Amino acid sequence: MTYGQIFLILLAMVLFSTIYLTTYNSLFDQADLAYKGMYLLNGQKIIDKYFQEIEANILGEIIVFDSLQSIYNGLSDSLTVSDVVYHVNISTTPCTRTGADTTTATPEFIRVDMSSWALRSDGDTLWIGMPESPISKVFVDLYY
Amino acid sequence: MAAILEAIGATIIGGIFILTMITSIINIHAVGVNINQQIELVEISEDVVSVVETYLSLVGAGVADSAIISTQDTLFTYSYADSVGGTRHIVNMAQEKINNSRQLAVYVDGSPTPVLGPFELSDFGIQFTYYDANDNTNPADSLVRYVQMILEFQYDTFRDDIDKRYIRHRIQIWKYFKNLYL
Repeated sequence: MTYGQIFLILLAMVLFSTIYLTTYNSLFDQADLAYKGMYLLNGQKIIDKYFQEIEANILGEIIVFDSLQSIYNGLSDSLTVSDVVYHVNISTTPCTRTGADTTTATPEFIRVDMSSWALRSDGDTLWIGMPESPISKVFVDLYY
Repeated sequence: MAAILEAIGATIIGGIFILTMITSIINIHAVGVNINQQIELVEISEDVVSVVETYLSLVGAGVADSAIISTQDTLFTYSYADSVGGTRHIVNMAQEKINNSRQLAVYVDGSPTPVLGPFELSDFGIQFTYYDANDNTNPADSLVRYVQMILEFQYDTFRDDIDKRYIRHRIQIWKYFKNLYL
């Protein structure tokens, strides 16, 4: 076998390895996207849990509507799903029916903003609703 | 003689190289299929959970008493009515064992045919945890106000002979029974 032939074989191996590594890398990117989607879905369900809790407590008159602010504004909590800890931050703001801020002392509507973050096993922080663009829901005082 | 040895050497090296390429291509294909299966499993299981949530929304609707009938770790039975005082229906959400695998099925009014399922679950299966209005676990049936439901779905991977593993997707939901708060 000549040096030329050996060189060609090595070149082929290098070229194939490059294609192989690139393809594998793309596949891991796809897997990462799939797992990120799963984390996002879990986070969304946790946020939905708190919205349900607030709605049920208002419907059942377990809490008075005006006390929404004192109970939930600035509240931080955490829940573990599939060994991943999701941290939830909640804030409340008096608002109009469209969700715009107001300064009314006894508001008819209160907007609840939530954001959640989780630290993934690879060390990345994944946000589900950011503090500056949270997941929001407007609650109305049924007895206003 | 030297030419024969060279030909044999070239065949061996070429053979190893081709084998490596084929194995690599099969591995890439397997990883690709597994990722696709994982995405499909997430899609399907999220759809299933959406329907399960719809059934859970009915808990206690239109009934004045005995809304919650049975609360167990892997079985939840409750009732609802078409309208206030209307026809009462009983829903049974259960984990079953069919052909040595755990399955999720939802039955209505004792029908032997499930209205939803059966869907294959992992060895973990389903786990219901019940709460009262003050977040205490395992209250009396009449005091249950919400449930935490954990389900783990599974799917086969590309290889089903050697190194058999499953693709899994665990979902944890909470459902507040708003009809019971009214």
